[in-house]
Order: sequence, then structure tokens, then C-alpha cells
Amino acid sequence: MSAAVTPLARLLETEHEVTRRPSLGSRALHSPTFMAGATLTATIVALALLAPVIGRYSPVSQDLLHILAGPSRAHWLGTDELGRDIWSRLLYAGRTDLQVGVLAVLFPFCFGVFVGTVCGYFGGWIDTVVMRVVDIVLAFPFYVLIIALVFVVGVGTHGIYIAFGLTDWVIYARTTRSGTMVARSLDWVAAAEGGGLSRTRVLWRHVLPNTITQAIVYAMSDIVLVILAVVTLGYLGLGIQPPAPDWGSMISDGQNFIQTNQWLAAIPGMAVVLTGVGLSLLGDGLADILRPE
Amino acid sequence: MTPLLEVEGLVVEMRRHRVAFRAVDDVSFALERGGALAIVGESGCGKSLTLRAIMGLLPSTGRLSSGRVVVDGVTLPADARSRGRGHRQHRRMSIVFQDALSALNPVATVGNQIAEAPRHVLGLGRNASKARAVELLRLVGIPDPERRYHAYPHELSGGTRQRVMIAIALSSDPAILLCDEPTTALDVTIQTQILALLADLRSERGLTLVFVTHDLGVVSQVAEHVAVMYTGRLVETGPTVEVLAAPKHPYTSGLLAAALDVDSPEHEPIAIPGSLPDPLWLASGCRFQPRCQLATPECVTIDVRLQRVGPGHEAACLHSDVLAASQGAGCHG
Repeated sequence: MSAAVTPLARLLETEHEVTRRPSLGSRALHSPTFMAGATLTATIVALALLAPVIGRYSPVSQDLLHILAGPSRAHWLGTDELGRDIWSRLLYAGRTDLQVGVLAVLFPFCFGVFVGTVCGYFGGWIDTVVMRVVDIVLAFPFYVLIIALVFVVGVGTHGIYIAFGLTDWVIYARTTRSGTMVARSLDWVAAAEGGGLSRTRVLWRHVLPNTITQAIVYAMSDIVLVILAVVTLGYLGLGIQPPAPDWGSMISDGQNFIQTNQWLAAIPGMAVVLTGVGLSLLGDGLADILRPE
Repeated sequence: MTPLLEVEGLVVEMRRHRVAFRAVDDVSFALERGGALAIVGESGCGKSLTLRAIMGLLPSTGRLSSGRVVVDGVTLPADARSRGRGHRQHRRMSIVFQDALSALNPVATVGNQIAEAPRHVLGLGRNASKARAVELLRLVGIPDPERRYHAYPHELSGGTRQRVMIAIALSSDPAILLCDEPTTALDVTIQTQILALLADLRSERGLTLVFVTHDLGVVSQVAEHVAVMYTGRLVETGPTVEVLAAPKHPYTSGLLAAALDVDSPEHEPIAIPGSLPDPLWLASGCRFQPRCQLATPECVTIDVRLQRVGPGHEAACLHSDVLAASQGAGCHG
């Protein structure tokens, strides 16, 4: 220790130090929820990404001599009514659905968090106006709104992006706003403001890091919600358009053969369920490990 | 020499259930460079609000309805949030809050929080800011500052956190330090250390100090001047030694009588009868009159304000002389 140590500092060394909180990584490793969610999600994502390698067939190539075949060495999960390999289609569909899920959540997340932070921090008439818009959007039943919007802007991926972009940000805006309103009355935010820091800096460094956790956790379940919505839209024929593979349209197509070939609908259904469980666990685990002390 | 900090007729109105009341009512004082003032009063008397009003950080339910804060001859805008980036006069003040845990950002390392003002307000470079933060950590008496730089607030003990809070307050190189009960949440030994630190800072850096506390015991340790506050008003101001030895307001003498005295254990603390009134239902005349043993009919009709009772000593009481006489009898008898 340097020569500048005051007698005071020496006194201090007797003071007990609170034990160090385990690092983020170590907390993650010790959270069973997080590990289960992360493992499941990572497996599904890896399978989807590796579709061209482990898919064995193109998702659209038809083997018309072997339609509605059961599991075999050639077709691990059998084939559908057009003789397409279900294993390959499942993997490629995962690619599509995960990609759409993540991308459709990305814009609402960023926009909603931004709007919520600004409204919660500055308040005033902007806040009043934006929150009334939020109320209006929330007043509609979610699926009715999404289906109507997809109808208007056109079916397919871009329709889904636009529909979610227009509606989904309200949840992020509302949760972030309430978190920000709590944060702005806290002493450290007051201290930062009083210390002469710019508002942008106070928001970016002192408010946002403490409010964004909630939005990140919600985003995990939101991806599940979007995938389910995409699957639902696919089932209604408004989602991903054939012949592009998608779990929703696979379920929808398989439904016709539910009496004879149950796996056609059951296998993509299982994929949706597993993805949902994985992302939900991941969200729960993240909530545990990201929560500030 | 003009005072460094002048507070003139500060009035803070708070809203509660749509009713506005004056939580701080006509508070004025002035401090020379390097001076120190302690504001004493019970919880809820408006002492913390006074500090926040000076700092320009009133809560959203409060409003500065009149009065002004002058630093070095320049009047500050009422709201720090609208003072704009690094208002020059405003930067000369910093505030230390009572609860250091809630006054520190839980997701940033203490070093980054201390280095922030040097970097973004004073405009130092990254390395210079960091060096300054380490130096400040050492200045406030934190051992091994290079290592503590990377600690998060929850990893530190209460006393260390309060030191970090003081380091953050000092990081923008202020001339005035406002302390809002900085030692209340700490145990007595740590409290003594923090008070010694503040005294060191005053003598070494010429810092001007405004110290808010409900503890009369710490007043004489930190400030030569004391202001006693009751229901938003100053009821007695003067040199600490004199006010504590010979109070000229019955509230001050009541507070002193209610304090424990370790040196004379036979002295039983005597509580002030009654409790702090609801600010919406203040008594007419002198606000302390319903709880006062010296109260006479005039006290109910005359709204008495601070008046001179000695050199630099003011009290808002009609019966200061009665109090003085009883003290004289006590001393000489």
C-alpha cells in the first residue's frame, strides 16, 4: 500500500467486507432453469442452423414413390403426402420460424424500450399521447389485430414483420416506462442529474441498464409468442407461404391425415412445444441471473 | 467578501392529495467559502427538501414557489434537470445522500461511477479520469483503491459505500458539498470516521459544507454554525457552541433535553410533549406553541419570525429572554 494511507484507512481495514457476489457466468452455471433453457434452446438453434448438413434432403424435393411413408432408414421421420422428407422439413422449418421469431421481436423490442424510456423519464404530453396509443392497441384482442394487419399488408414474412412491428412494441413501451418512472425517482439518478451529466448520459448509463432486464426477459417469452402466432397464421394460410417449410403449415397439412398418419401433425407440434419450453426456461433463468442485487 | 452560497427565502410547496402546503417555508442562510452549516430537525421538518431544493432536485410532487439560490453571485435556475449540461455554477455543488446503497447505481462499478463526472463533465481523458477516480478513492480512505475501482456497490460494506458516495460527490470538483444525513444509516464507529473524513476535506480542500442531520450529537463535530428547523421554518440559527450551550428557542432546548448525555448518565432524556404536527394543520401563531411549555396567549396570535438574540444568533421566539434567564439561573445556581 502507498504512503498516502491515512490513519483512517488503517482503521477501515478492520471493517468487514461483504462477500463478493458470484460472477454472471458462475450464477448462470448454478441456475438449473437457465441451464436447462439454454441447453434446449441451443440444441434447437444448432439443429436448425445445421439443417443443410444434417437434413439429408432438400425440404422441397419430392419422392412421389414413397408418399406418407413411415420412419425408415431413408426417411428417419417418414414422408408427407408429397413424399417430402419430414426430418429435413422440420429442420428447415425451424430455421424459418426461429428467424422470423427473433427478427419480428427485434424491432418492437428496440422501439418499445426507446419509447418507454423517453415517456417514463420526460413524462408530459408526449407520455400521455403515447400511452393512450398503447391503450388503444392493447384494447384489441391480439390475434384479431395481427390477422387483420397481415390481411391488409399482405401474407408472408414481411407481413408478419410489419404486423408485429406495429403492435408488439406497446408491451415493451409500457413495462420500460414503469421501470423508468421508478428509476428516475431514485437517489443515484438524482445524483447523476445533480452532478451535471447530460440527460442522454443519465438515461443511457444510469436508467436503461437497470430497466432493460425486464424487457430482455419478456423478449424471450415474446419470441415464443411470435413463433406461436406465425404457426397459427401458417395454419390459417396467412403465414409462411408454401413450399417454404414452416411448422404451422406442416401441422395444417398433416391435419388431413390425422386419423392415419398422426406423426405428420404431431412432430412439428412437438417442435413448437419444445422451442416454447426452451425459450420460456431461458427467460426465467435470465430473470434470475440478471436481477440486480 | 461575498458569501459563496446564499439561500434566500426558499419556499418549497408540496402537493398531497391535491392540497398544496409549504414543506419549506422561507428558509434563508448564507455561507462563506470554507464555512459549514448544520441543519437540525426532526424527521419530516423539511431539512432534506431544503437540500434538494438548493441542488435543484426536487421530487415531482414538489415545486420551488419562491426564493433563490445564489452561488458565487450567480442565481441558479430552479431545476437542475433544466440547468443544462454542466451548468457552470451548478457544478460547484454536489450532494451526498443518506442511503448510499440506493444512491449508487447497482449495475456499474464504483470506479466507473466516480470517473464519470471527470470524463463527461470536466472533460478529462479516459486515463486521466480513471487515475482521478483511484485518487479520490484513496482520498476518502478506501484501502487498495486500484482493486476497489472494479467493485460493484453491493460488494462493499455500508461505510465503504458512503465513502464511495462522497468520492462521487467530490469527482466533479465542487466547492460546496451538501450532505443529507450521510451518517444516519451507519453505526457509531463508522459514523465517527466519516465525520472525521468530512472535517479533513474541509480543512484540506476548503470545501464548504451544508450538513443535514437529526442528531444533535454530530452537529458540534461538523459545523461552527447550526440552524434548527421546525415544520419547514428555521426557528433558531447561530454559532453551534452558543446554540447548544444556551439555546434561545424552546424547541432547541427541548431537542437538547431529549438527547442522551453519556457524560452525565443521571440526566434522564426528557421527550418534547406532543409530536410533529401535520403540515396541513399547523397551529396559528408560533407553530411550536401547542407543544411549548413557555407558551402564553400572545404565542397563539403572533406569528413570530427569526429575530436577533445575540451576535450572529437568531431565534423565532417571544420568550427567548425567559429561556435565557432560566439558563442563567441553572448555570450559576
